[in-house]
Amino acid sequence: MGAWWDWPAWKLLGLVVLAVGLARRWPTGPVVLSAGIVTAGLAGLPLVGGEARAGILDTLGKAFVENRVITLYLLTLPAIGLAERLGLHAVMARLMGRLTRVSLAQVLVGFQAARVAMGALGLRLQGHVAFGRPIVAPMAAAALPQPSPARAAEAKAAVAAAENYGNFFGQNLFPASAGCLLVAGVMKGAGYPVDVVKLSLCALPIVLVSLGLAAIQFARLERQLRRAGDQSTEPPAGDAGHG
Amino acid sequence: MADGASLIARAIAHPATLETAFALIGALLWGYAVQAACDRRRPKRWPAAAYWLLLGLLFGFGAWLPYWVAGLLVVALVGIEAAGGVRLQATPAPSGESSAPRGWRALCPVLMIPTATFAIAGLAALSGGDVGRGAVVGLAVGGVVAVGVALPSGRFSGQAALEAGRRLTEDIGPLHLLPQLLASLGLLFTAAGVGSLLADAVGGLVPRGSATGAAVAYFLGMTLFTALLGNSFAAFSVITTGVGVPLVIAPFGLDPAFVAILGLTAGSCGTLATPMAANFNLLPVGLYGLSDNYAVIRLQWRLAAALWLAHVVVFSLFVRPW
Repeated sequence: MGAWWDWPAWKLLGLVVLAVGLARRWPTGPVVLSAGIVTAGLAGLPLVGGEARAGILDTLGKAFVENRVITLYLLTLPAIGLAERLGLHAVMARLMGRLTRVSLAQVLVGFQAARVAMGALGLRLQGHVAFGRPIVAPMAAAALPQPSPARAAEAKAAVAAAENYGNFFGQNLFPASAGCLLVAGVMKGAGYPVDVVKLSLCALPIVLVSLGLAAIQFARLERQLRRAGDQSTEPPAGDAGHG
Repeated sequence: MADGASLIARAIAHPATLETAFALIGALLWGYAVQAACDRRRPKRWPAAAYWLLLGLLFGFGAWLPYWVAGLLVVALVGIEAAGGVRLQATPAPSGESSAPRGWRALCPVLMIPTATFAIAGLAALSGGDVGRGAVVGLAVGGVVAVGVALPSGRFSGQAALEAGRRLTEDIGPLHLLPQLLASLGLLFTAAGVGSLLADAVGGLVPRGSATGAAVAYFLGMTLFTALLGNSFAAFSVITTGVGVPLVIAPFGLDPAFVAILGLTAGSCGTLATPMAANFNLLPVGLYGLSDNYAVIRLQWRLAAALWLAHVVVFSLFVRPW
């Protein structure tokens, strides 16, 4: 009774394992798993439970099997892979090139909106690698009148930001996205089952706000970069190694 | 007509429908296993084959395995992955992108996926069934139909489809099991009582009787914990079971779907502002050739801060109108 090992907060060591492990970039799977096992072990859960009490392995297996639906997208990957061999990225690039070609802010907002649309359609594509770097970043740099290396880098950083904004918030608009399915799984486990279509609708306000705020941010960035371009005596880009 | 509608609704809701999709995934993964086992150029082909075999077993037969066996399989999978058993090998990509992009032919299969998802979700809605279930079934159907469209249009073999799918799955890498692992973590934390412990700790800080105050604490917890972990999914299972449900949703009877999705996106605000989310915020630095490591985060944290405040506004407008 009251011994130091009875302190209930020892279980929180699992959280420490999680935070330290992810911070040190240890492999994610083992970190998550050991965080769970440490916590459950400190809470006195048996390895294999019986009738009365669930064990660690039971809980793990049950949660995994019941949440298989989160990884249902594995079934869509062969088709996406085949489409990539048919030239999916080139087609997307052509479409996107047609979408946006005027000012820097328009390029950025157009890219973000395109990524939101892809997310809403459930197209899981790696935006930085597939579009950001090869297509949109050169477009963004070219949209500046006299791009110095520093200003071109600012524009490219904004492309990366636009990709993240569009990807993070847009994907929730697809009811069968991993995010919506995870939310549904966790909420079901917590005793509040929710509908994934409702989830995707509830995600809409934040998507719209994120597009509006980003439009403001990108317009301000463009004005700032243009003003700096008018005043600067920096040499023009092109002779500056990276880019 | 009404009979047809109820038949559709029942077919979508029937457990066997989803089990069939899982069995298909199991078969697909076993296909990957055979392919990995037969690939003599692959240095670690047996661990990879074992990985896909066990994962396929979990998907195809998960509903019939005792839970502790399934748990053991999960531990084995994580072990194989940690030992580098499924790391992508540098085998040359076969042909890669074909030289001449074939326009809409490349887009067609990919568009089949959302088309089927929304069509079957719509059917479920019209027939009075569960829309969310319809969307999930539609995603599975879409994946299968899309392969069916892609195979003839590129004259691909089934082998090529397996190869393409395995390559993408390996590209996603260790992350592809993470959401499921995190859901398990949430359940383990709940079983261990971490949730109530966190709720007690945060509960002392939250003003009593204020739904908005509780929601602010929940959103803040999601943002900070996500920034710490670099992963909003991981934060979601912990903070929502510990704070969101017991302190926000349950006591005030608020709409669980709206509060939960706001919690998730409040977490995404944290993702935007942290170097811990390296693959989103630091990887582009190298990829785009930027000289400043924090160039992307410097832009993103400002938007994240404004967007975070928008969460409180949206909450007060839609979830808890005055």
